[in-house]
Amino acid sequence: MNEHESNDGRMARWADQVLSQSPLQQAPATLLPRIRAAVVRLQSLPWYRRPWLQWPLGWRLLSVGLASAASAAMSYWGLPQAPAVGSPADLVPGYHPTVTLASACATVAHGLFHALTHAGTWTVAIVLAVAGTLWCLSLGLGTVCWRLSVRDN
Amino acid sequence: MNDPASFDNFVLSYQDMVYSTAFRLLGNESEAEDVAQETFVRAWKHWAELGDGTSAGGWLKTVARNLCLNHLQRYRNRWTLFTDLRRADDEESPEPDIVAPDDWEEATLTADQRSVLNAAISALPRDQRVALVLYHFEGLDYVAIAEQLKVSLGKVKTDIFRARAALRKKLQPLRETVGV
Repeated sequence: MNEHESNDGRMARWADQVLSQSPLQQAPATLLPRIRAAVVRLQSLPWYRRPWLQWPLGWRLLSVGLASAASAAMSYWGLPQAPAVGSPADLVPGYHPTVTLASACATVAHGLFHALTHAGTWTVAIVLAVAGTLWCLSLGLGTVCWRLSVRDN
Repeated sequence: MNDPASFDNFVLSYQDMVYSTAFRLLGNESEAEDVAQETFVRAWKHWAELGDGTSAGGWLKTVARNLCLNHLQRYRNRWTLFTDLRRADDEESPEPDIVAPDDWEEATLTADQRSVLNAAISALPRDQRVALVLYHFEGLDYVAIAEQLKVSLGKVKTDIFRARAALRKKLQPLRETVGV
């Protein structure tokens, strides 16, 4: 092991000694013209197309002031409200909430009556019991998950 | 920037150093030129701080190195799957049995041999070349290199060891003439 480490160290010193003689690469002659062109391109940009930190100081101060004023105004007066949508009665001709609710209840009652008369009382009772159990289970499972997530947080 | 001539002189003074840093890390002339250009454009943006030239060399070297590493990182992300598959093999495989020379103290290379050395560095596999350059030219230690490249310490050590071994092999003809 010591021999290996010693060899590693000697290799490192050998590489240091050899690589220290590695000459600098000569930059291509095209580099300086390319840099000049890039700088000229940057200089020709109007101030508002440069990064914000390179804007003239006055414009930077003005932009901060305007942004602050806009933010303050929006929090004071609130965001503009969307126009209110009319009631369902305006959208659907002949719509009346009470009549619609009564109609839905009548439909459910009619369906239950048909189920009781055709499928039998016991069948309906079992179906209702299963549905109730599933509903309770989903409520219980949801409660457990919610409590676990709250406890984890 | 009020004086373009002084910026030109600044570029001429440092362009070889910046280009060499980029070329050693990237191993590609065109990409190295792009990185060198971007480095000097950033220097122009910070000309007010760099104009006196006291710390310009270190600043330029750091910027060029970081730009190169970002470039390599972007390139590597495209091939993450393949490099990860290969990395597992690399870390487990045994290191090559290359023995350091005993007579390297007096070795001095001629200009031609230095060119051969540069070519040998460029020809190294990318991971080995980058780790070797960061260690021997940029002066980073193993831990810093592992952090910069976001790879394991073991991989850095293995890559550097293999790079040195590969250089030894490639420089074998030089050894016969000047004892490298």
